[in-house]
Amino acid sequence: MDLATFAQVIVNGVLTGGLYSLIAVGLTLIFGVMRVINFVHGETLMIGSYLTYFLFTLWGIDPFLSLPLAIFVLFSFGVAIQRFFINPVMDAPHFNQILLTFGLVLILQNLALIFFTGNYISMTTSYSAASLKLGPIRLGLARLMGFLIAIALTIFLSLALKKTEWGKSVRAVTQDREAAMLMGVNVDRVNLLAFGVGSAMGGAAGVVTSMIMYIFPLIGMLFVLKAFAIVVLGGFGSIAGAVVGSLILGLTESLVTNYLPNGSGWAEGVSFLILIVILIIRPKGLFYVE
Amino acid sequence: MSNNGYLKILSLLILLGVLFSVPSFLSQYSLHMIILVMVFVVISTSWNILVWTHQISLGHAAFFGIGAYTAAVVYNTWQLPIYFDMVLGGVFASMGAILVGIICLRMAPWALAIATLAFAEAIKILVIMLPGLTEGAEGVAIAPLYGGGQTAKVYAYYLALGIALVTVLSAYLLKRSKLYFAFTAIHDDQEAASMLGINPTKYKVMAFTISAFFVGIVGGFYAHYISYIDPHAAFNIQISVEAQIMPLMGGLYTVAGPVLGAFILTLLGEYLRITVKTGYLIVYGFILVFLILYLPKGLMGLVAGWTRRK
Repeated sequence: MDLATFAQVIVNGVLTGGLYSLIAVGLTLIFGVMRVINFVHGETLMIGSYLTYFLFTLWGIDPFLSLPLAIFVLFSFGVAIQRFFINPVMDAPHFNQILLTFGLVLILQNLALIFFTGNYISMTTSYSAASLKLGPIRLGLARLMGFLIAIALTIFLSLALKKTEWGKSVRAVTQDREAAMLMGVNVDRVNLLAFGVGSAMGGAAGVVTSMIMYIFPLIGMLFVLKAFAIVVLGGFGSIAGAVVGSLILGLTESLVTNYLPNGSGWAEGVSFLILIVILIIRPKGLFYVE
Repeated sequence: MSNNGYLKILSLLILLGVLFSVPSFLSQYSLHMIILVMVFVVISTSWNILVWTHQISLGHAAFFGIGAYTAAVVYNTWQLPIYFDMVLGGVFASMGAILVGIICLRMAPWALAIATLAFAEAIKILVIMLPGLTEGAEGVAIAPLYGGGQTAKVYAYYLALGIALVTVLSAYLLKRSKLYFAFTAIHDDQEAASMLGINPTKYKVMAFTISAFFVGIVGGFYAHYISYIDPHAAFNIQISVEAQIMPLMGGLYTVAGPVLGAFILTLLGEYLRITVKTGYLIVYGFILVFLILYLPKGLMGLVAGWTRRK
């Protein structure tokens, strides 16, 4: 085994893990607060990535500039989804909630298919092909910047959860909804904000995705399944767990792609395998503490 | 027996009469549609059986695909009578279900939903990546059912009708049996059920196994009928979606509901597929969202509401 290749494989894995963490953190936040399995989360990534793509190809707006816009748009989108669709079924069985978000996914996916066609598209920015060289290792500039965005946003969110009043109420609701309600936390407002912030993270993940890979209408489903695997791996509701889970998935996929025969085909299955194995050995997640 | 009971039996007999005489007056194309309806009657009824125990599967395509591939590979290898490989497809699908069931023993319903979805995707990847056994992404061709042609389609119809009738009858008998009480007891209160000596795990896995068995059989039938099967068609997420939306539309927890849902949505789906082409599944999304928000008991709930009001 060649050491330089190995280092490259590890670096690629970490960079991919960064992107995964962006989408998984939003998903775990929403689940932690509301205990809702939210399949729509993948579609926030889809919307964010198409938004970035069209802003760039139609008006030449750089993805970095569309990032705040995507965050704003998807935040509003999340708030609306929570307000008009999730809220009415908050007390219904999980069953209904899952099927509802699944129905919303079908609507959004097929809207995308109708408006954007099923084609795989990608955009070329001035720095798409640029890369940094660190000894034998090549770092794609777009991927590196995407990774940094992911890290920055995740740290920002963690700080907000720790330091702000809003963050404290989110954590209170995550731990015990009833108690939080009794202590005077406005749970409805926390729900709306958490769904909005979670969706905004998904939108940011979409911006990063459009910078580094092909996008297509069904991309949301692909990512939301991986995000679920990560969230199950890290423990539902845990931000730190989601970050670690993302890195594990990114690294494993990268290793499988490079070191197994037909690796890229098998890599698609890694997340499902991890999911199934973790659910067998530790159904509450790898980092769950009683 | 009340008037209502006689009315039910009479309408059931008429329906059966129509179903048995269908090939004499329908065109080849319409017959094909009714065969597809039968396939979905089986899928939707089986999915609904699982719901009795309050488990949701988002991955019933897995069992359909397992059945289809088992039948195709076994038939192409040994050329045994098709009924044998179709039942074997059901058995293999059940084995997959037991595996999922055991994995998911300790899982909350929401986790099960994700795990089943992952299971279907994982099996699809296995099928694609093991071309030695399954011919990979290229798919498997099988000799046409009953030699193909017009008469063959009529035979195929009766076979599909037979599978559908057995499935619906099994669901009906299950609903009248003691098992149903055990199933719904888990649904209502797992802890209370286990205190009363009902082992929730056993019944959960049992419901999964029964559900997957019929779906596996009909998967095998589908492979023979279409005479070609590939991973993306056999494990199509759309099958899993239709498995949920059909019972929901007709009415969960009932026997007639999933059948009704399968009839309406298969025919509607085909109509939309021809007229709308791209993105016609959007209609399914709207129906699903509408049902959950405004009509969670489905059409049968609507009917029950009317008769009660009278």
